[in-house]
Amino acid sequence: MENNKYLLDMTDVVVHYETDEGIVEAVNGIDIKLAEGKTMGLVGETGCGKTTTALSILRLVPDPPGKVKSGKIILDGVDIMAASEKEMREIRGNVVSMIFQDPMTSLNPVLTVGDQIAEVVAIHNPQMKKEDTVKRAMEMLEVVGIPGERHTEYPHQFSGGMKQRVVIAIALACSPKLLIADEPTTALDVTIQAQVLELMNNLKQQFKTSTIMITHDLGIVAETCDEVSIMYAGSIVERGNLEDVFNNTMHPYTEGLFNSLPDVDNRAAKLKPIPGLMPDPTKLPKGCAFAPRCQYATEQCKTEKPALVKYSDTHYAACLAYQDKNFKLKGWSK
Amino acid sequence: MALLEVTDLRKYFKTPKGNLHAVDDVSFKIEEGKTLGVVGESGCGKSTTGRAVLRLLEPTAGKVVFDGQDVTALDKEALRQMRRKMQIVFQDPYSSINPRMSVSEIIAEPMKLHKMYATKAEVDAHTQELMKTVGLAERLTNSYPHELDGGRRQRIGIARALALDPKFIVCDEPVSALDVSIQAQILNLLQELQEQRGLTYIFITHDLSVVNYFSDDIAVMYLGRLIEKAPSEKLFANPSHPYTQALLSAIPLPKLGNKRERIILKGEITSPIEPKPMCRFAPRCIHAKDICFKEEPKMKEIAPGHEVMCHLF
Repeated sequence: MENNKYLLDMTDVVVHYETDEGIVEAVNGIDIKLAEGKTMGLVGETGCGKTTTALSILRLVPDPPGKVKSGKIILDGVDIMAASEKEMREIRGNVVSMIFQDPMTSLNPVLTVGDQIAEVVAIHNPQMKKEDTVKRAMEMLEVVGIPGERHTEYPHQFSGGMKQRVVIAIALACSPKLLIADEPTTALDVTIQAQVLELMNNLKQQFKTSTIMITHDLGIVAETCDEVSIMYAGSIVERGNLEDVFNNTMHPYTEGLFNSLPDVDNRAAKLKPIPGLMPDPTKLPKGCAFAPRCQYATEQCKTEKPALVKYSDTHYAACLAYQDKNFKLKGWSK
Repeated sequence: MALLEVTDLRKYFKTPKGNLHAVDDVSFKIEEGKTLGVVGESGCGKSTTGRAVLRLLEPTAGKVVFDGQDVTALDKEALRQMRRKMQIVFQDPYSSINPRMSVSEIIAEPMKLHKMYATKAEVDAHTQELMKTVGLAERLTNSYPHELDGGRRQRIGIARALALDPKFIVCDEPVSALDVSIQAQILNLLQELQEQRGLTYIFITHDLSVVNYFSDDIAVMYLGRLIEKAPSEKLFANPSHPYTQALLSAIPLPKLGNKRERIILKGEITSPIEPKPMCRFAPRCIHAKDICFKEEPKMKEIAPGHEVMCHLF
């Protein structure tokens, strides 16, 4: 069975938000395959559907207005769409857990951090004694680099980076197989970000957890991920290992992202921003969603949606330009 | 002569536990048409510096000489006139513009307050011109901020800052709230405006790759102190303060292969309330010696234009 190869196997997942203003086509047929122990970066700009994709794995898309319209999500052999609410409660925390962007709002301000970690342990291990859950909480704090005796302190007594460590401790308390980190360091300063990323890298090696790293920062992807998927307007436009996407960039949007970043080693290099804006997800263009901003777009791109095509064992891209065998992107070739 | 010369600028805030030293004896100069990048992490005093220079916050001590005039000595009316020449663009385009005013009203407001033009027609004409300059389509004249995305809102903020034809603009994290592709659009716009109008910028940011791209000189701040200052190439080629080294090594680069030695700092920023007379970075510094905990280092010039505040030098 091919499915067993992957810890997470998402096929053609479609999520829409049905609002009074129209249907927001947030995620439009996404495939994600993630093997055990691997880290995948999910990259894209605000509103491209990264977070919605993640929430669909946990079956936490807010309904209403959100609806998972179609597709299949197999996580650790379980069909998420078919699971009962009781089964889902078992899965969340035990098999998959999520770290959110803002550690200030994902902790309960009136509970001690120790209680918040112990709570997760107690829910998933009802037979465990209270002292043992507290002990486990203290162990988890040590794992993320916080002295265990601080378990009686409240979130406001911790700094931003420390709070994010607590959130990571909660997420890992039941040793999940898949960790979804939604912009885990965006709210942190660079030196603290470096600390947290190092911690996550160490924990990944220690616990062999698979990770989906949601980010808009290609620098973070380069440092922490094994593979990367680039999302635009609810679809994956390019997918591959780091070598594929960074050094043999295929999709014009990926090229645009790289050209928008200032080059630390070359100050003279001019920024080449992508013109225009991301399309309104309630009124996606008929053809390729990126066509209105794409310098390579042809008439065909305006009417035909490109499919994600396999170019090597690992490298996929969704761009019609490659129907011409000689097509090459202009910039960014290293 | 420098357009802006700041000497021993100090801003303390009173708290129940004592004085919070947000900015402590910061000095720098900027030549006309140049950009000084001010970098540092949350709470290092970079925004407070920007605001104290404009006297949006009243400095506790120090001197700010702009265009030959001592800004700190001006009375209210003279300061108001001075503000025509010095403007600011804020970080968050969502909270820095009035949601009840239309795009054209927001841009025209400073012109009306300063009675720049005698007739409404002139104000309207100048507003249209500004919208064109910053790349806002004419059809947006009567739109409201909530109808626009972050990039366009930041363009409104820039147009308003330009309305009085200033010489000098403090850009306080102008692209931090924006997506990368939009960020590059705004950075290019700010750079074009500088070339066309000969503007002088203080560019405040926590993003070192942006500041390197944008600035002629860079000042690095830590806990209210300016700890290293150098021309951009020099700072990136030869970062000398241990904090600057750690800060530069912490930027995740969007490139494969060049694995750099990363300096991971211990601990977190210490309290800026009544700091002890010692190097403020010492508790996190990997090179800290005894003297670093006893005495605060002085600013030293280690190469032409390159100054460092550290006992190692």
